[in-house]
Amino acid sequence: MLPQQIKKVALKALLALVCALIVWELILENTNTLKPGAVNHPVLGRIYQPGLLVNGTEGYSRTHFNSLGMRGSAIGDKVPGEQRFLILGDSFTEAVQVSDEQMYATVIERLLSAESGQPVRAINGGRSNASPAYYLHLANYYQTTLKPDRVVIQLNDGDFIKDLLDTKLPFYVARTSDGFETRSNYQSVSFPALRPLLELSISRVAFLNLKGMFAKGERPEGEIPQAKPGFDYAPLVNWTIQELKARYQRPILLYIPFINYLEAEQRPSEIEVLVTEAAKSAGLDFVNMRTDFLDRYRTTWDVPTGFNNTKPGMGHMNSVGHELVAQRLAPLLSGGNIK
Amino acid sequence: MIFSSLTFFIFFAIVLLFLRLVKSNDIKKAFLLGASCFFYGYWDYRFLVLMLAVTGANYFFGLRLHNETRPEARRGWLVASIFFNLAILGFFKYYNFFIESANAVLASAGIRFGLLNIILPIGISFIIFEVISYTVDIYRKESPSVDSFFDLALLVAFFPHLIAGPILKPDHFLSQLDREITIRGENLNYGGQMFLVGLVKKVLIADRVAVFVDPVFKNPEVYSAGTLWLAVIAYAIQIYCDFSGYTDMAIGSARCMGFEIPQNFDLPYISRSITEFWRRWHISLSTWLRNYLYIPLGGNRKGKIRQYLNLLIVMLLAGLWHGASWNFVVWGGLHGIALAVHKVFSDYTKGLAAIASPVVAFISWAMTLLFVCTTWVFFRSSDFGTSFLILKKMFLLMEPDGIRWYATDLFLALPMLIAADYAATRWNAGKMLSLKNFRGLFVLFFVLLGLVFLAPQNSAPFIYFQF
Repeated sequence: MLPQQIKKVALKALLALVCALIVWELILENTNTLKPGAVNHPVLGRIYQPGLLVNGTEGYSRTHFNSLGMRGSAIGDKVPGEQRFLILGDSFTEAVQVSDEQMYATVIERLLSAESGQPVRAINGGRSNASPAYYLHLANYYQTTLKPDRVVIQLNDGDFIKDLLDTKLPFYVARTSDGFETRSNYQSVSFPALRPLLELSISRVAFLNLKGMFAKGERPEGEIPQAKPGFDYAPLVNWTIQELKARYQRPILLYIPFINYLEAEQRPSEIEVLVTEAAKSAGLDFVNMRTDFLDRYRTTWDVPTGFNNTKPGMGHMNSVGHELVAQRLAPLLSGGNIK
Repeated sequence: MIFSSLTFFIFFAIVLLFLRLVKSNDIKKAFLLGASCFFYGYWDYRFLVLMLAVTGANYFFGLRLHNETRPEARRGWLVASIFFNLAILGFFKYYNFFIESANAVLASAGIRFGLLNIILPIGISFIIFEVISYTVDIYRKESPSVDSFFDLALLVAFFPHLIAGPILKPDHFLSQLDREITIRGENLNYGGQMFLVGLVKKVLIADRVAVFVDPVFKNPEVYSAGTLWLAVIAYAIQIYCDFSGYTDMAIGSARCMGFEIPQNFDLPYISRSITEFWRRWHISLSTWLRNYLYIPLGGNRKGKIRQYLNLLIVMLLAGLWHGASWNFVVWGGLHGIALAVHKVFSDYTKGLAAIASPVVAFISWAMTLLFVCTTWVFFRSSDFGTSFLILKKMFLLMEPDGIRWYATDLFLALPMLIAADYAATRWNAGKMLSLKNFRGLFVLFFVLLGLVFLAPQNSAPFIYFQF
């Protein structure tokens, strides 16, 4: 080929590559993943900026985030007669796997407002990777800004096994000489100049896929987290529950268990036992979804976790799981008016 | 080292670069043999010793068969070569299977034989079939023995087809060794595109669908009848894309180096009869079985009944060739019965086959596909109990309830499969993408990027490697 022809083909190749990237960006941001981007909030730390989030890697949903980085519409001042609940939790509560209408916060709103005829707002304060360290550290902000009548705090094994003590997270718990304390962690952004690239779905998906391809022996998504053998979780669990009780008024603790539905004999996990005992001795309302999930599975074969594009029984809650959680929480939040 | 791994891409790039830079054809052939041995030894260096021993023995048998003129002596050498090759295969692949089966039968008599801790050398069935065809062809005087041991070693070890075929006709490959190995642009273009189609079939279809198939076949008792049907359909897609994807990559990588490997699949799921299916599925195995088993058994030359029986025997052995398990024997037996039934049907209803009605065509296609999919249950299940459980649930002979999992990946796999087969068919007809115009370049980049964006994170080994 002549140099002129080579130049022409190279130009065509470049154009073709750009066009292919644009087409993939359009496909991925509508089907796979589209994040609204992140902003630094002075108190909450790095949160989603308001906008649309598309998730197609686990379930499929198009969901919306407000100015506080929370699911749903903007949170205004409380209107007279409004009952307001704040639900704190991790990705199980944030629930980007299900639509806005299916997440348990919305189902609770529907159930309670239908029952009372009064405006009800259940704020979904779930954040991916959040742990009780977040809820403790931000307790004052949440209560003074959002003014909830009652707070639900969702917990699971992952909180105590990995997230709570993870010093890389914005809020974590550190061991001190006389127990534990929460700490915040300024999150410096690695390679800030490259951040805008990650706003593109193509770079985000390619980065995650390539990282996954080269990572050997990592825990596959959806696998049940295992407690470290020999680690005494009791002091951490007891301290956490006591602190939650001290910083929130009558919080309801919601425990989402990891269940292997294929096991004939179901046994609670070590963390589950500890959390149940700690909640009982603290005198807090405690909801454990294990029985509800298993009963539903055994009567109808509906698995409350997992999706058609993942494995049933693994990963986050689907619409069945959210519905079951809402049915358990609604009577507690209504003060017994709903059975 | 599997074709869809980064290690293979690095390995293959080095091979191509070397073949491009070196001038001497002998050095190129020696390097290709060395590279093929490295490719095979990458799994386990001990496999290499066995492969070279098998090659050496068959080189010797080939020379004896070629030089010997007395018919009895030639037959003796042929029997010795076949016995040797089948003994190797029997020991490594079937020893424990037959001992376990014998133990099961003799358990009531209190007799028990010990099992051996044998590693199954990867691709052993393909290697043995390749060398058997080499010696039988010499015996039949269809081709001469090779002059050089290294030529035979390259026929056996040639890395694109070493692990899972296609099983090559020896003279077809050996005649290509007489030509100079050259890296040409048009071969790279065709080979690269075929390789890409194979990669799409393997990574984007077979591996993604496996994420659905594996858990369902592992615990079929908890899934609903509908989900089991979908899993069986998904497995039909998975095994086709896994195996034909491998073949496409084998054809593509061989062509990049200037070698031609024949087609092994020709849209098998469009078949309207089981006979047609076996003309389109794993063509090199069907051809091998016809040439080296069915015809020696008498084929259709000894009457109808004997022909039906021959079909059954061939397919039973084909089933056993796939794996040392009664599940494979049943799978092969069912296909044998179906082939015989179809033969009877064709023999006695000659007029019906000539009816060019779309309704008849559709019913024939649907029945063939239903049969093929149903028999895959035996092929995929770990044991008889699992196979029967799945079949009973599928055909509503027991409680059909269970978890309903309508895997999204299956519904995405279908259009991708149609697109990949369409591309491969066009390219085989010589209508390749031109990488000099925008359209061709766009399709190339779109597919390459698709591999990055849609590939599952854990690539599974090829299903046929175990055979």
